[in-house]
Amino acid sequence: MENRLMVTASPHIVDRSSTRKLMGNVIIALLPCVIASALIFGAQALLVIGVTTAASVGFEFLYCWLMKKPNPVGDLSAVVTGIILALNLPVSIPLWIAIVGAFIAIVVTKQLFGGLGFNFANPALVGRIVLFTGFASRMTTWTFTPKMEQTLGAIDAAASATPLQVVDAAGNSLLGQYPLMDLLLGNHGGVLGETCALAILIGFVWLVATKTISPAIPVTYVATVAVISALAGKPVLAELLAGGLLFGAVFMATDYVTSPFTLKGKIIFGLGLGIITCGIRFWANMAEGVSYAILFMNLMVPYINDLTRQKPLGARKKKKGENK
Amino acid sequence: MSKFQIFTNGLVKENPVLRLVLGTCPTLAVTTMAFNGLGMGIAATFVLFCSNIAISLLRNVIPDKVRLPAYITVIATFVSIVQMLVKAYVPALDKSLGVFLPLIVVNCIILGRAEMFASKNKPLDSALDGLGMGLGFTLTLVLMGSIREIMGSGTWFGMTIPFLADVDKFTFMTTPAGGFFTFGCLMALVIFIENKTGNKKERSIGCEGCPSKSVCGAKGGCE
Amino acid sequence: MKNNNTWENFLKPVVVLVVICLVASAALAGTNQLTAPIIAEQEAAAANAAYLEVLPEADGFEEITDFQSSNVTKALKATNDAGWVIQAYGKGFGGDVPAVVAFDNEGTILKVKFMENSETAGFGQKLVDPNDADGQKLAESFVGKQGNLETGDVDMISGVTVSSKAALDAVNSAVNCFNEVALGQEATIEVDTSAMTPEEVRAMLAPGATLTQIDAQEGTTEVWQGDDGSYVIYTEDMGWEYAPSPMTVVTGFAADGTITGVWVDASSQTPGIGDQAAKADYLDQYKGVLGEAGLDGVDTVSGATQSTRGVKKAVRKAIQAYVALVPDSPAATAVAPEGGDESEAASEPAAVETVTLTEEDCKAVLPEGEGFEVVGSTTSGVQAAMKAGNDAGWVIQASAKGFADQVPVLVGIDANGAIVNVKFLQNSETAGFGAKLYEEGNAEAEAFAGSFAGKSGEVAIGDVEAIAGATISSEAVVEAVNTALSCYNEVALGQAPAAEEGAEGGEGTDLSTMSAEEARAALAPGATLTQIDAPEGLTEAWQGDDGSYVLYAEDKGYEYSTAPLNVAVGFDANGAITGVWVDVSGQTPGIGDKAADAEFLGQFTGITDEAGLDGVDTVASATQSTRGVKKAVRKCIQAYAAGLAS
Repeated sequence: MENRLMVTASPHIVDRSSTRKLMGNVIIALLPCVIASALIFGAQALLVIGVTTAASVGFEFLYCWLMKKPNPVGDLSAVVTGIILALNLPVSIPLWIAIVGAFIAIVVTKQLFGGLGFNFANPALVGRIVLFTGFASRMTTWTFTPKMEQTLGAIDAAASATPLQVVDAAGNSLLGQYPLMDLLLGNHGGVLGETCALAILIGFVWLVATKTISPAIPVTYVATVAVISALAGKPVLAELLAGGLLFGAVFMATDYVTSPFTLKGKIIFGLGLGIITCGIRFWANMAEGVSYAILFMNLMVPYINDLTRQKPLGARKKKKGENK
Repeated sequence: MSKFQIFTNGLVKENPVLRLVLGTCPTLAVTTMAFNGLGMGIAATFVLFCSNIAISLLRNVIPDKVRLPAYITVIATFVSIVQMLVKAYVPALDKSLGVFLPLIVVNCIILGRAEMFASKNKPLDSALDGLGMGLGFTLTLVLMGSIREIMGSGTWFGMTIPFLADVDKFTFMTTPAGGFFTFGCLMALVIFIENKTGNKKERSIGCEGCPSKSVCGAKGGCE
Repeated sequence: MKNNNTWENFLKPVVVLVVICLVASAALAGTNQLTAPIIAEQEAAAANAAYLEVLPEADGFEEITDFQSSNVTKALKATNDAGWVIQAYGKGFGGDVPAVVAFDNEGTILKVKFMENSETAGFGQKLVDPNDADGQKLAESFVGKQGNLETGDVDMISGVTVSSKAALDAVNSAVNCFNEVALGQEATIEVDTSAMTPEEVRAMLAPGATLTQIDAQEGTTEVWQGDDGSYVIYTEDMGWEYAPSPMTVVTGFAADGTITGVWVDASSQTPGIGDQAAKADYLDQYKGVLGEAGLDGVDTVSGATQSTRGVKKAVRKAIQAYVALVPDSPAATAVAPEGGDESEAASEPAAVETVTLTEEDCKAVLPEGEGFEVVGSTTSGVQAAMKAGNDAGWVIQASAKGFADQVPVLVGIDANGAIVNVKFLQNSETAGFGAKLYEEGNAEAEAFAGSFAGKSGEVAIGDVEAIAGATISSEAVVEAVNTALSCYNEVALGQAPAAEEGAEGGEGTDLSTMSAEEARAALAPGATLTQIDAPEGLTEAWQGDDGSYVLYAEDKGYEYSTAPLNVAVGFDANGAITGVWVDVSGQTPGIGDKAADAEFLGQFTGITDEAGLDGVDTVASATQSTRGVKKAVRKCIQAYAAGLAS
């Protein structure tokens, strides 16, 4: 397997990041979402997040101990995976199912492939997808506060659907009628992390400000979705604020190991994500396309990297026909 | 190898599905339920047994050039016979196996064993090998089928398991993704057991019979 | 040597292969000989098994092939004259729904068995599952009947309309065939209207008239005028949003403006789904419809919603074109206010159809009752009211507007006014939501119904176990139960009948039609009120000569409302609230006007201070509006306590 260290061409500048520091920043960026989820969904949300995170760390520790590998728990990556996975679950999920998800994310997707840096896709994402296919009904049971029910009543929709799922009797999407403020502040049904767009944006600002992530992927991704939505005649702002788009764009698509190195690669990545997400949302049978889009693009990353290799300093492009 | 060893070879050490990685297609497809796995396994064992004997008997007659068409014809004949017998006497199995019953013709295990063993060994040995491989195949199918059925539907051979009745079923296991996952886990398990028991005996696949001969860089065979 | 090489390289392989193939073929042929008869026998036995299952007395069958009835696969007469077995099918959701029906020689149905079909699991598949109670019940409900049957004659499976109807069609086709082959009647051949030529279609829709084509109106593709004043108008609609081309809909109008019929070319819609829109049962609903208002009674077909809704839209366009052509037709004056969108919330009239209840119906909710008699009631929303002859209590059927349409409930009330039992009747609410109410064996519905027992007076949604996620339907149920309780007050206690509150924004509430003086008089009865300077926070203040007050305050209510809520609170001389009146015209119709509901406002009566407001509940799903009322009342109480209290 190719060496998965972050290899870019020279010149290299050494700064004081370490995995722990980066992960710490991500955790801080996730805190607004955690708080928002507790405010919207209640204390159970914190329990779900806590249990999932503890399970993630526990599984990583256990696995490495059993396999006699050096213990990586200190780098906080398992904590991040745990929080992100939890924020992808609905508040009513039975805790044992969340633990199963943590197992899939940490042990199967990350450790079995070689640990941090070797995973082929975002661990939390794979955990979420497996839970979604395995426990579909549990993963799609939403709880509604009275305020949410009033909004749903106002647009004549049933109180068991997320904004992307509300349809009228003819099956037409009612997303455009959803009050935007509700979408922004998270006053709607959904999984823990995706509802409060404001919290996600705060996290995004922190991540960019601390140079933990490059804004290229989220910006390209969201912009692509906006453009395609507009072209397809869908309500643009509502499409951006609803569903897992913002959360996925900021926290899941930007995972270092599973996204391209170079700026060009990142832009291609974001474009691909946007196209696939819109494709699934508008023309396929599912209401939400973000998770599968990210998974698919994760798999494409090695090819994107190959195609967008940085030119080493001093090298010139090989002309066709030249010998090796 | 002794007769007994030939027979037990196919059970674990050279389990056709988990170690030789042959016949994965029906393995993944029919193991959503344990009963289907059992049915498929028995049908395939019968074909394997008969075809191994037939091909071993003919091994000096069939010229090397046309050995593959000859093998396939023999195997296909036996599969058709099995299909007709199943349709007549066990129609329920025919319904549940559907198209995978006639697909036993291209099951790599049968062609593979014909090529690797039956064409080079005496009929009695070939018969034992066929039985052993078939049994290994069946056991694996039943094992995989049981795991997937219990976790994915909460039943075993169609009977509901009492203490799982109220638990959410992990329906992921009955999907193809779950099949691959179970497959991988079982393979890992078998390798682990083999490593632990230190059984690294010489395999009956030589370089001659290996399909990867042309691209293999190892000198002197596997391991 | 050359010879050897030729043999080795060319001849031997060929010979060997040929021999192998010959041997193989022989083996196969032999096995086939052995097994083919067994296989054929098995298949025949499986088929025969079904026939013998429905008519065990037969010892064999002879097949009758000479018949013309449509939709029949096999007609068999028992060789020992035990009866007849006919296998027929009906068009279901996914394909044919086959049924095997056994008749005795007179035509009475002895048994019905449904064969394998490709309907949806959990729905149409129930017909085939021997362990499924609903499927068995439907099959058994045919036994003993004769002749063609309607949906009311048998136990249709609730929630499985399309497949049940197909099953019924299958049995009816079998009956038709029986009539033909056994009784010698004329064969019933289904006319395929989709194969009619355009002239035939027009002739069908405007019988007897000579039609000439005139210029097409805006919104129509063709218009034909008949010499007797009838019209045939062609319109289009896409129907299903992904249809490759639009559906053509042809509507016939009689001289008086009523629709004679509708013919649809649904070939561009999804086969098996959208072509429901072309079926006679659906299109029959349009016959006799007068004007756009008449369309409100036309249901779409669930499972083919977009296509049938498309037909409705196309017919609406045809009606509009007709009205443009014949402006003084009765159809014109029957036009509903909202043209395109069918917002059912706005235009539902208050009247509900009356029904008659049988003794059995009544006993279901009032088991101790005997000898039920009808009593008259003028309470709006009541469909039937019965008194138990043995004075055990009352049984009242009432309904209220739910999500899609009326939600009827049957309420049994004992002699003391407490609810004994509640039964939810068939409604057209959304499957999986309000439809759960009448689903047999649904635990949530049972818990909901059970939670009403013992309650009296008026029930609030918080008092009972509403079905989670089916709020609107659950609230309709509560409203209907309260209507029944009001009716009880009327017929049992002789109180004045409760007028319909008009919560759906239709007629307007009694309160809102009150003039300001009337409202104040209601809040401070008997006093003469003079207006005084309004203290801070209030919009108006009136003082009564007996120490009572009527104070007005405002609140925005629903955050996106167009105008604030105007709230008037009456205080008696002791400072207790006599009542609250609310003007909700700026709130969301159908939702915010719950804030004007007597039940909600009744909570304020008797409150003396702010602390008392803690006991007032807002109405779930009209939270902002009712919360707004609460805030306005709070302002009044504060103002009262601050300066006006003596």
